[in-house]
Amino acid sequence: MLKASMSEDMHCCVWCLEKKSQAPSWQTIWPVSQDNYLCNTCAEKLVPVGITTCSYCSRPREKPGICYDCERIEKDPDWRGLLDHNVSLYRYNHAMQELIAQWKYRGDAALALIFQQNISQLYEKRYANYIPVPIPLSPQRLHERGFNQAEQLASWTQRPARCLSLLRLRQKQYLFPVTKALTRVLHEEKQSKKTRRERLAATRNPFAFTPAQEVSVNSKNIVLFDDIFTTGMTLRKAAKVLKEHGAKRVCSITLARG
Amino acid sequence: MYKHSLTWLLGPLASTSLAISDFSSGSMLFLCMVVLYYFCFVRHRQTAIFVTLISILLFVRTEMVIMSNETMLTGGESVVTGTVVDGPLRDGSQADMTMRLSHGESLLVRISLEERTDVEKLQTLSPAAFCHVNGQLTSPHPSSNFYAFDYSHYLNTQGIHWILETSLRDLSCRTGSSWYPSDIIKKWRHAGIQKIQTAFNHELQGIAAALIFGERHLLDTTVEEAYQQLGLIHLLAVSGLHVGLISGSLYYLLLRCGVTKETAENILLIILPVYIILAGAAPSVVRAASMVMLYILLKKWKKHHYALDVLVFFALCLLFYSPYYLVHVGFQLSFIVSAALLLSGQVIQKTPRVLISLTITGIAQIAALPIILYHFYEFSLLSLVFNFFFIPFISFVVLPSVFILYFSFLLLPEVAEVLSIPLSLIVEHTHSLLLAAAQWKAFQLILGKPSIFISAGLAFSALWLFYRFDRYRYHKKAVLPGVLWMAVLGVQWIEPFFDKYGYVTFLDVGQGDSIVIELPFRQAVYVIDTGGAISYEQEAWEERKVPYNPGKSVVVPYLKAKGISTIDKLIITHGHVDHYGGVLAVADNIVVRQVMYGHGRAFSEEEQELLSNIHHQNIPIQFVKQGDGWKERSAVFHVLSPKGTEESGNHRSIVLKAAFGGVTWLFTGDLEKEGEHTLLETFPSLKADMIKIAHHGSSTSTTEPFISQVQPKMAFITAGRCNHFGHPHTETINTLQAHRIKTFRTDTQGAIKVTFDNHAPVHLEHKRSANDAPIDECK
Repeated sequence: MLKASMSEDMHCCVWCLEKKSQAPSWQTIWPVSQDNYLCNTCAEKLVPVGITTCSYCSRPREKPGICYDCERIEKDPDWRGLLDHNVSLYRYNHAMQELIAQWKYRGDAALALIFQQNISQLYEKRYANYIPVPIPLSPQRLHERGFNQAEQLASWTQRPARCLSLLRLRQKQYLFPVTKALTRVLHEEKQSKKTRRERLAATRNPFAFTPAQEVSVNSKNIVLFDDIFTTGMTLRKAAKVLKEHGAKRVCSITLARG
Repeated sequence: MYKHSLTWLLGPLASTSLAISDFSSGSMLFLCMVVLYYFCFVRHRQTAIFVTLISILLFVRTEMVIMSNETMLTGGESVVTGTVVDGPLRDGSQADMTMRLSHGESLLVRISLEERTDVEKLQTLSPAAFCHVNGQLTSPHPSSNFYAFDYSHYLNTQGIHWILETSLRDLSCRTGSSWYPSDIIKKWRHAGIQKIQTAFNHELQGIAAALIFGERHLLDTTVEEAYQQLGLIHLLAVSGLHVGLISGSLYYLLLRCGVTKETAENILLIILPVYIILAGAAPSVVRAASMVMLYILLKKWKKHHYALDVLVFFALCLLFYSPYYLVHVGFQLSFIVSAALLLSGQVIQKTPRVLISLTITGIAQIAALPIILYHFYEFSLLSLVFNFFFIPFISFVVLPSVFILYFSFLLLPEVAEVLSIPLSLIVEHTHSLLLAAAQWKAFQLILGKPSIFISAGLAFSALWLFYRFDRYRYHKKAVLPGVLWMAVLGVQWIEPFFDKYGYVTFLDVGQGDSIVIELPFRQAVYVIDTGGAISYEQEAWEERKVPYNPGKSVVVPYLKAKGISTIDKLIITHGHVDHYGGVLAVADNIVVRQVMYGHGRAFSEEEQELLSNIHHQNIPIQFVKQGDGWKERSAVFHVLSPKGTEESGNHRSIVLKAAFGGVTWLFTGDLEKEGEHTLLETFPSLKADMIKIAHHGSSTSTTEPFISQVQPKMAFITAGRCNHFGHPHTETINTLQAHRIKTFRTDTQGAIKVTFDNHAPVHLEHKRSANDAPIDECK
C-alpha cells in the first residue's frame, strides 16, 4: 500500500526529499539489489550497530559478551529470562533520533520503507518460525499518531507476493502472519520522557493479552517489534504477558539501540 | 527507470542472436534465461510489453537482413559495373577494393598487378569512381580447417558473395562520379591514407594511419599481432578516449579562436559524422562519436540522461541498422567495455587516486576476457601492466603527435620531416619492446576456445565480482566471486587434461603436411610437419607484406584454439618447404620441447638454415633413424625410416609407426617407391590400420605391393586444392579403391579429425562436406 502510493520510479530520497543521484552502477543493475529509498548522504548517516554487540541486548561493545546492564537485569528475579534476546539494526545516534521523530511524531509514515529490506532479511534469516508481534499503542496514542510504527516494522516480515517467487516458496510456509496478541490497557506518559529509574520503577504492566485471531501463541516462539530499545523495559513487560500465556521463546527486533 | 536500460538490451540481444545464429542451442539457452529473468524481475507490465515488442522487431529485422543478403549474380558474369566504395589497398602484386553494384550488392575486386608501373596507375583509383570491370567471378572459399578464420562468412556479413579477379588492364574507371556524401568522404580518406604512405617514414606510417584514419592496412602485421597478443589492440582502434580527446581539443581550439560555445558545439555536430566515415566507420568509432554528439545535443536541449542509457540506445540502433554487428569483435568489445566502465563510475570515483588507472584497466580486462578468449583463445598476463603504461602513452603522446605531424606535412613538409625524427625513434623503440614482450611465452596464457558454459561462467562470475566489489569494496565479501572467476578460468585451463579422448588431426595446409596428434588426457602433443608455402623469386614491389604461411594461419590457430601451449615433439619429416615452412611461425607462438629430424650424412643448404634457426630458438634437435622410438603410457612410436644413408629430400623422410587408440598408424612423410621397397624388405610383416598416404598421393609412392602388405583400413591424403602437381594422382586413388580402403582427402574434405579413446577410434569428422561449394573446378 505504502509502496504503491509512492511514485513508480523513486527519484527522491524519502528522508531529505532531495533528488537522488542514482547513476547506473553494478548495484543498480543487480536484479535483486536493495531497494534504495535513501540518497547516499542520508544512507551514510545511519550507523549499523556493528558486529560485536552484547549478545542479549545488541548494545555495541568492543568485544563479544554480555553487557553490564544485562548482567544486572538477569540477576533480578522479577525480570530474569523474560526476553530471550534483542537484535537492533542501528545505533541510536542524532540522525536516528531525528529520523524517528520525523517518522513517529510528525507522521512521515513512508520512512518505514527504508528498513523494509533489512527487517525482512533479518526475519527470514533468523526468526522464520517466530510469530511477529508488534508492540501496541494505546488507543489514544494511536489516534494521535494515526499509525503504529511497530506494526509497520512488523508488517515488513510479510513479503509481497511476486509473480514468480518460486525460489521463496520453501521459506514461505514458515512465515506467520503479524499477530496482534497484545493490547495496551494503560495510557501512560511516553517512555522517552521518563528516566531510567522511572522506567525500572514502573511496575504496572501496561500490556494485556488478547486472544489472537490469527494464530495461538501457546508454546510458540515470538518475535516482538519496536522502534527503540533503551532499557528494554517495555519489551520485557510485553514478553512477560506473552510468556504467562504460554509463549516458548520471546525475542525482539528493534530499529535502534539507545 | 535506470534499472531497466540494460534490461531493455537483453531481450533484443537474445532475439537478434537467435536469428543470426540460425537458432543455435546456445542462443536458445540465452533466450530462455532472458525470458526467465524478465518473469522474475521485471515488475512493470509496460516495460515487459515494450521490451517484447523491440525484441520481436529486431528479430524480424535480422531475419529480413539475412534473407535479403543473397547474391543476384550467377557467377557467370564477366563484366560488372559499379562504384568503388573502399580501397584499393595494395599488398604486393595484389590489390583489393570493394565495389557497390547498381543493384546494391557489394563485390570484392581483386586486382593483380603485372608490372611495376601498375603500382602508380593503381594510385589514380579511389573511392567514388565508377568502374567497368572485366574479370572472373569466384566464390570465396569457406574455411577448411577447424577453428580457422572463415573468410567467406566474414565477407558474407558485409554483403559480399563474390570475388572478382581481374587485372588493371581490364578496369576502366571514371573518377569522382559518385555524389553520395559518404563516397566523397571515403575518397578523402583514401587520399589521406595515401598521403601518409608517401609522406611518413616507415615506422610511423602504420600507427599514423591507424590512429588518424582507423586503417591498419599499413601497419606491420607482426607489430599488429604483438599489440593483439598483449591486449593492446584496442589502442589502435579509434575509440572512446580517442574521439573524446579529438573532439575535446577541437572544441578547446575553437573557443581559443574566439568562437562562441554554441557555434563550437554546432561545428562539432557537423564534423563528427564526417569524422566517423573518415575514421573508417568501425563500430567503436560510430559508438564513441555518436555518444559525443548526443551528449552535446542533450546538453543543448537541457535534458539529462545517463551515459549508460545512451549507450544502450546506440547499441539497439546499430543492431537494427546492421544485425551482423552482433558477431563483430569490435562491436562486442567496444560496447561491453564501455558499459562496464560506465557501471563502474562510482567505484572508480571512490578509488584512491594512485589506483584509478589500474582499476580502470582491470575492470576493462575482466569485462573483455570472455570475448577475448572466445575470439583469440589466449590472453597475456602482461596485459594489465602494458595497458597501464600504453594507454597514456598512445593517447597523450603518440596520438596528438601524429595529428600535428599530419597537418604539418600538409602545410610545411620540411618542418614535418624534422619533427618526425624523434617521434619515429620513440615509436620504433616501443614497437621493438612490444615485439620482444609478445615473445615471452611464459606470460602468454593459451587457454583454448572456451565452451559456452565456460564463457557464461566467466561472464556471470565477473558480474558478481563487480557487484560485490561495488558494494563491499576490498572487503572479504568480494573475495568469493573473485575466487570463483579464477576457478572458472582454471577449469578451462585443466579441462583438456580430463578429456578421455585423443585426436589425430590432418590439417588442410594446402599442398603440404601437418598432422597434430593429441593423446588422451593431454598426455602428450606431437605435431608432424607444419605445412609451408613455396615462395617464388619476386621483385621487391611484388612481395607481400607477410607471405602466406600455413604454419601461422592454420597450424597455430588450431593449436591455440585447442589450448595447446606446448608441443612435446615436433617431427619434421624431411627438408622440403611444404613440410617445414611453418616451423618458425609455430615455434614463435607455442613452446616446442623438442624437434625431431631425420638422421643423415649431409644436409642441403636450406636444411642447414632451418636447423640453425631452430637451434637459435634453443630448441633441442634429435636426429632419429631406423630403430629409434619412444613410449608415452600406452602409446608407442617407432621410427622405421630413414636409415641415415639416404640422400636429403623425400627419400630421407621420417616414417613413423605408432600404436595408440587401439589401432596402428603409419605416417609416411614423402616416402617414395624406393623407400617403400626398402621398408617392405626390412619389415616384411609391416601392417597398419591407418595410413597417411605418402607424398600427397603422388603416383611415385603408394605402390600396389606396399598397400597389399600394409593392408590399411583408412587412408588419409594431404594435398592442396587444385595443386600444380595434380596430386593425388589417379593411380594412387585407383590402388586404394581396388583395396576398398576408405580414403579421406584434405583437398576436398578440408581438415580431417579422428577422435579416439584408449581402446578404439570413435569418431571421424571433416570440416567440409561434399555439399559445400564444388571443388572439382580446377582449371
